[in-house]
Amino acid sequence: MKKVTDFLKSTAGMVLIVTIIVMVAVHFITGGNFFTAYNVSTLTRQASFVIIVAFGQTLVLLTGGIDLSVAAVGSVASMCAAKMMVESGINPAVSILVSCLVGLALGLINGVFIAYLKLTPFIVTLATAEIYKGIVYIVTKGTPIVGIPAGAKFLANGVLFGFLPTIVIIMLVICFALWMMLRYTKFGRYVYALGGNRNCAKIVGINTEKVLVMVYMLSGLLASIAGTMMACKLASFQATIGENWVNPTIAASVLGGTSMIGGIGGVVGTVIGGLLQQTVSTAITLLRVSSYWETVVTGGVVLIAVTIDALKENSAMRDKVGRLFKKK
Amino acid sequence: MSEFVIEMKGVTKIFPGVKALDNVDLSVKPGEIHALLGENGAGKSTLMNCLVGQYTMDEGQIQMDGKPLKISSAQEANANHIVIVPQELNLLPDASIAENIFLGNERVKGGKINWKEAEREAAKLLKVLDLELDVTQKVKTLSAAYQQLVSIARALAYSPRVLVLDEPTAVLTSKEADSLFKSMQRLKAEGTSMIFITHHLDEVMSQADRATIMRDGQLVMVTEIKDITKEEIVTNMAGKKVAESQHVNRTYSDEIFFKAENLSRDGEFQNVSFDVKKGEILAVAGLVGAGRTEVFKSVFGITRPNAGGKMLIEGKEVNISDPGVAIKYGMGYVSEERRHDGITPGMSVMENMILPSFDQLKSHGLINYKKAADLTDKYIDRFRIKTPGRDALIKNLSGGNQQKVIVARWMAKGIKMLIMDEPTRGIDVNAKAEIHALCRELADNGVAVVVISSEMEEVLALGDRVMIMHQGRVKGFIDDVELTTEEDVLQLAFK
Repeated sequence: MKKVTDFLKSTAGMVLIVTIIVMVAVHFITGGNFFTAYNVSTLTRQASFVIIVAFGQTLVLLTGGIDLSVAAVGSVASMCAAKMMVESGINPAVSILVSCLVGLALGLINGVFIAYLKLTPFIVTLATAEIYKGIVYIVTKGTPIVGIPAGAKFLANGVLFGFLPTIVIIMLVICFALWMMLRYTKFGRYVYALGGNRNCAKIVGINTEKVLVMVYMLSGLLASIAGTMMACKLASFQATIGENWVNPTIAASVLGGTSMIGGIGGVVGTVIGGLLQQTVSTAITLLRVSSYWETVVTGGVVLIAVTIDALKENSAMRDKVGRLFKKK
Repeated sequence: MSEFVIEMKGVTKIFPGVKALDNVDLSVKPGEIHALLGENGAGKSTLMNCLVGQYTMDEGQIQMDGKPLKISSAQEANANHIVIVPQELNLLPDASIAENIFLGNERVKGGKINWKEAEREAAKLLKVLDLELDVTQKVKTLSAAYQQLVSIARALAYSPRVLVLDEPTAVLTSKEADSLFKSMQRLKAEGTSMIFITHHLDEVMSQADRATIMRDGQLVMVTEIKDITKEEIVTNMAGKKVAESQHVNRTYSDEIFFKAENLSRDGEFQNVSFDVKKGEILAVAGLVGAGRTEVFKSVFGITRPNAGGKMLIEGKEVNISDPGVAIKYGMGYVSEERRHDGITPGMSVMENMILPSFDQLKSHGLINYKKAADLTDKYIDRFRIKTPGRDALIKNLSGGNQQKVIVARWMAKGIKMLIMDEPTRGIDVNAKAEIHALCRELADNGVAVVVISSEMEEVLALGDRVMIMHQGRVKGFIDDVELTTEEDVLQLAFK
């Protein structure tokens, strides 16, 4: 019971409550249009892609870093997968696997610069993002690659039992694996230790460089999984795949209670954060509000969430805000 | 007019689960040095944070010159000339001395900062502290002692009527401290009141006029310094009589665990040779800057002895290239900077304790939290660590208890040698005695223990053998520690 109340008091818990309230409210306002099998499966499917990428972002944020290259890595991977399947006729399973290895390699490049050359993650991934994106345009000249086999398409676009998209299952499996990794393996605990206090991590004998490199590789891997799945879903490669992934992945992590300073957070919260964003977006569509409002609302939600979080942590600031309200 | 410049009355402050302050009063007269005394965790800092607006009191009030005063931010405190010099330095290392002194208090003329005037005034403020420095140089080029003095100068820039000095002498040499005391007496003569927090009771006896003693968030007594002795202060702080740590004659094996031969590192230490036996406590004495910390950082693999030397563990030569390797050979390290390298503040007591020991806590390849919890509880119990539980965040524990968690971390790992750098720095009298007992317990279990300490009493109380360093060199060893005085050690150091 205490665990439940603790969860509800956490950022992720509050975000979950808000998400449910929004869902229910929209359901009634639209006369029962929200909780339909079609809407729920569309919403969760769309959310899953961003959430998978956001898992990687969460791991990176836990170490106190940031990965701005996730979108570009996803794009490169989707291009590789599409090229292999369509132009070389390679088996989809092999193509997807190889594309994921490409994602790992791109993450490795980020990690080596950040861990061994001790460069700032923001700058390194900003630069590699530009390079990776550039490579996609050089190779494809921005033109789509169409004709991905139907089998691959089902993997990302299929629906089981009429409401459960396959990609949601993939996302949940990854979530469980990462949750286990973070909680029950040495590597997972070291990720937290690194973000919590790097000096202390060194002194207890953690190979901090290796852990960092592996985290960026995982981020690359997860971005490439989402990228290839997106290509499968669209049955084609589009140069725009992943274009808008960077900000939502950070937002999903933060809404899920992951600290930007590192050391605090987790992947379960990220699922909730990603769901809230997609719920807002769906609500705006269902309520027939101009879609231009979507980013305004999402941004506002993030601001409110981090403000509440900061107030929870900082008693002096809480006192001050409290007084502000008392005066009135 | 009130007799007091500042009065805090009935201050109560409650943190989640803890009553940090319970109905505490503090009154300071104009132009007095008022010592605020108490062990770690007695509530001194909390009280001062209430005074300068960092915390809001749950109950109580503040009066200045007899009139109620509401302070809800550091800015408001400063505007009322109540200024704190915190214990932790918070200067901008890359900014100049003058910039630091006037940070947040800029000398503005016609909308822009008047740097000429700021520099002139900064020099003037440093002069008050008997310092002549180029105020345009960056703060990071200064020693810790000078940085401390710059923080005090920054406080002086607010022309304080009440100046709070939180452990101002912790990083100063005795000569620098004496010069600070002269400045304090001068400020006092000009009518500035000072609230002086320190662990050094000699300083209290020689400098302060009155004292307020606190214990466990409550007021114990207010006294004139001339009416009380050092021993009485200690008794009142501790609540029970504490014996000073005494030397204990211990027996230990003559099996050498670790041996260093001619270790050297550029600019830090030269030709350092020594050995530590199983079950022995080797105390390493010397002044700050003698190179002691540096030697043992190299022993633990944090730095490399880049100018030569050999290390042997149980007779075999080893190459310790990083802390991970040192740990594999059975070493543990307790850093002198607990908050910087020791604890991971956002983690629980348990997570901090088991950090190096996951391998032994696994079952079926995964961490077994049942085992981890049992292990943690065992050490919480055995080391009498005061914590609400194993899941409490370590940052909410007192310094002494944090230190116990770190020692327990290595005990739990099952080490054969433990290096402890200033293990009792900033830790109160009772906790200190407990840490000393822990050191002996470790050694009794066959662990080779190295204690680096700048406190001569600690060196002589703990060490089975004392190694003395000065300016990067080993000056000698003392075997019959029991018969040794602090003077003997100093003479060896300066020989």
